[in-house]
Amino acid sequence: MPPTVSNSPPIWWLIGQGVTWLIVLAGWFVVDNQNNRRELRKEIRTLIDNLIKEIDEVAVAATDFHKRTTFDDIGSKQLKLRIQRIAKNINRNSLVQDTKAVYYFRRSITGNNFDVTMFVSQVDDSKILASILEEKDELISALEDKYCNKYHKNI
Amino acid sequence: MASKVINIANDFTRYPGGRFYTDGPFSGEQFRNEFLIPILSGNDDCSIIFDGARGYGSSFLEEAFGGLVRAGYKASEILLRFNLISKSDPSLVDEITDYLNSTNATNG
Repeated sequence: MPPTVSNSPPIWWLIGQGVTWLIVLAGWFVVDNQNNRRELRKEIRTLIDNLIKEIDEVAVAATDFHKRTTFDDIGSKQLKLRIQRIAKNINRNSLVQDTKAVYYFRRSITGNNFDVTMFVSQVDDSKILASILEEKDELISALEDKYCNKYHKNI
Repeated sequence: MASKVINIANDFTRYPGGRFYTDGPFSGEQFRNEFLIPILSGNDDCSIIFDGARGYGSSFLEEAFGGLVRAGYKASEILLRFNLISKSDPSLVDEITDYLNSTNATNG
């Protein structure tokens, strides 16, 4: 009577196949995850770059507003809207650790000399203009700090 | 104690103005006198919703809320009675809280 020959593959071959597929799946998962993180990081970087540009432009517009010889009502409304848009964007995407940087920026522009009855044209070395520049820089630093802490912590 | 809701954009204006009545309509002073003080004079607490308006100036916020402390109300009572809600820009709540506390400290 001839010996029985089994057609089923040996157990070590099955284990090898299983391990191979596990490695393939784990590799795919890691690459996909890293790819998603890289794309998200790029999107956030672009968003921050656009925000920094807008913050710079708002600071310039605010400086012009405070240096004008007469109160600019439309200018004041536009500044409030633009600051709110920046604040919403920062909040929506959690782009700063502490929202006080947003409010200090708003306050530097709209806290003093922002109402028609109190408006006085500012000279180049005024405290209000210096404060706008300072708080603009602080807000940009807050954006960069959060970005670096989140995406470049291990570098 | 009943709870009221003030939605600034719906109940007051979508375009908050400046600090004083003399700065034009919808000033911080007007908001304080017409909305905040009547609430504090009664027993109700109140949620104030900031979302929906087209931008706040700090002078409006300072006059509306810091002005309450200057009018004799305690910051702690104001913070207890008012629930400040700003989902789209939480920095507004930080700012108002700072005005309340710093005006309180100034007044001793």
